[in-house]
Amino acid sequence: MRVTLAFTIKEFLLLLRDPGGLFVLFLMPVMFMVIFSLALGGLFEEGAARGSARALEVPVATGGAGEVAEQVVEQLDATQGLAMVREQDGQALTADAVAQLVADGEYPVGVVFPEGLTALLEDPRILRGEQVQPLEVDVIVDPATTAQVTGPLEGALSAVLQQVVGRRLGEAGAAAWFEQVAAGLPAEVREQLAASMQQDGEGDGALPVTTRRRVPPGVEREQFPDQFQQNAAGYTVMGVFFIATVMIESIFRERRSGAMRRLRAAPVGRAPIVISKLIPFYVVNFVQIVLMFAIARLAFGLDLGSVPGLLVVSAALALTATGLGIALAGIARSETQGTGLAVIVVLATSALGGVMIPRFIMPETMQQIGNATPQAWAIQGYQDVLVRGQGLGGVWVEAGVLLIFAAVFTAIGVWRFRFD
Amino acid sequence: MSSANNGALLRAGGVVHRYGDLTAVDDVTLEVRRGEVFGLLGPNGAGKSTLISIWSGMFEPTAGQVTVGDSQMSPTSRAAKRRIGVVPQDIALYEKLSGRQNLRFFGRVYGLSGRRLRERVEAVLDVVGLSDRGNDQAGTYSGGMQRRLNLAAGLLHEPELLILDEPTVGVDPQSRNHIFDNVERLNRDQGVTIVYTTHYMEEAERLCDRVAIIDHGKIVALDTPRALIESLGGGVIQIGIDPGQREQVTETLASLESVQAVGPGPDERLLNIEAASARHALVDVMQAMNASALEVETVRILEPNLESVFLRFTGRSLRD
Repeated sequence: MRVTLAFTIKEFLLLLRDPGGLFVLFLMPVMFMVIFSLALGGLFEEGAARGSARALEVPVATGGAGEVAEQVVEQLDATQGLAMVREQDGQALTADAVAQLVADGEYPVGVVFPEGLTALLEDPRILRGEQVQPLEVDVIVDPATTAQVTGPLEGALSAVLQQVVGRRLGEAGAAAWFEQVAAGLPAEVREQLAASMQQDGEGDGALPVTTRRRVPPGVEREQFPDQFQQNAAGYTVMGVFFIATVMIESIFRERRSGAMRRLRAAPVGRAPIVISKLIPFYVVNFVQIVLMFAIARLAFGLDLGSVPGLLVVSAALALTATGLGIALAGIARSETQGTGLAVIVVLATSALGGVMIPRFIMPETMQQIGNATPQAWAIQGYQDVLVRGQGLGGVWVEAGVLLIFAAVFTAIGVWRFRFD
Repeated sequence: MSSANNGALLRAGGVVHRYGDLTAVDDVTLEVRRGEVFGLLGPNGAGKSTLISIWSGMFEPTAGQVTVGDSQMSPTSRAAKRRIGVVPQDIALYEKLSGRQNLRFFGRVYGLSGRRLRERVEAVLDVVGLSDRGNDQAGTYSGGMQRRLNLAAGLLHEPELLILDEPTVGVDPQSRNHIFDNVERLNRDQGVTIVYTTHYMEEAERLCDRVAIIDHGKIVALDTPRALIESLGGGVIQIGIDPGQREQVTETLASLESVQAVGPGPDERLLNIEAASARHALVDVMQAMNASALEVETVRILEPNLESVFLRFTGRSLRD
């Protein structure tokens, strides 16, 4: 019992001797609570007043579609969780502008109404119940967007179209028939009949307007991502950054052994030691990435798209992750603090970078903060290749930004590197 | 021990090192002569490790400078660093690597490669008697074998100056003797200059041509072991007293003819009494104490050796 107590006291004293490590232990849960609360704030405010909740913003083009399109947009806009964006810089959005905004990743989904929608509904052939070529309302979807995001919009759009167009057709058709058959009825009977017809006329039967899912022009791949395509990039990016914890353990273990001290007396500078630390872990990281995508390809049939594009993003990503490891090892004062710090940094930046939740559902501020994380650029790069079908030319910006992150991290690591 | 002293190989001039308010090395100026085994004695915390870290170029001193031959030592001085081999107090090895893998790694760090590297690895394994265990993981070695491999790693590049920081701590007698033999042969046969830090007096007496005693960061004595011991005379009597009678006891004993000096011991209850012959002086001391009705709680005779030399210069034992 005494021995146990002595060991317990000793462990407490050791913990207290490492206030940084202790701080990290306490900081971690607090940080996650804060970050996830901020990032997912909109999703959890179901009962909140409109405007305070985080709604899905949807750019919409109604040019030439007339009053029916306006009614549909108004009703969608009144739907909780949706905010229709009709203008940009004071100008009404065009179909091309909506497609471009989605292609640029500004919005995950947009809506374009066909020209002549209102006029079509006044076509006498429709009023007579004849079949006509239906018009299509385009739902422009970023292939990298999940069905969880686009589904509610598509459902709401179909329902509102059914309601608005159906009512419109019902009213117009009934009016024509009414004029023919009920002209001689007493005024009181005509009013009762008209009211009951109005109730029955809301959206029965096939509409001459349908919705069509499309990817933006210029985005080559027509195939929409499945769950695994969506997550392969995210999980790979997150996993790669956990190399930082392994690197920190390795560096501190080497310091503990005294080997670093011996190296300090050797005729070598810090840079070669740091770089020689990076190389093996870089290789490990790269193999890890290849393995992840190989499993995704072989076990789940993931279409890898442009392999050169994938390799360039992976090479830059692995360098960034190992750079982060060496930087954190330099910053941390103890192994406990270092590994704790790495877990916090990796998970927090992964969350902000869109690994766990898509960034477009985050508030604008959080999206902007996310741009400062390497994970956001890595995921963007992978999705460009895997989902949007881009090649080498489409990922050089993302790879370039990742290399800048890698250079900054490595410079910090060399600067702060300690032998003991 | 070699007697070939051909000028200074390592010079330290006014070296000071501070950690915040603590002065770990306090104005150390000395020379290590080419071809000698130079002992640096001091208890834990005396400043030995800090001093040899500075000599090894691990970090810059707060003040002062160190030269090895004609090269000024600093953390970035590759020329000076190539001239020395460092064997740290810690087992500075990779336990998961074999003995040979460890040595190949450290050899490459010092610029060896190819055939020369292979030859040196085998040569140093032979020197430390580990040729037959070279392919085993270092982590499977006994403590003594790890110490020997630790020594081998410092010899790979054939340094002019070898710095051994407490190389026998936690070592079994067989490995300790092996290390002693290595040090003597390296110095005698290959002319390697050696700096040897220890807190074991018998090691310093056996191996060192000259010994510096360091305490609280200062060099308090520097000479050959024989000269240091002779300076002590016939030994030291350490007596335990009532602290309240300290002044009276000091005065009483200092007046005795057989006593050369009376000085403070490691704590306020102890006094160190130097005498030409400790055993003869002890009778006078006890009689004087009885005559003055002064209480003697403990008595200890320290024969003339480096241990008692250390006690004289620092007022405390090496193992305190």
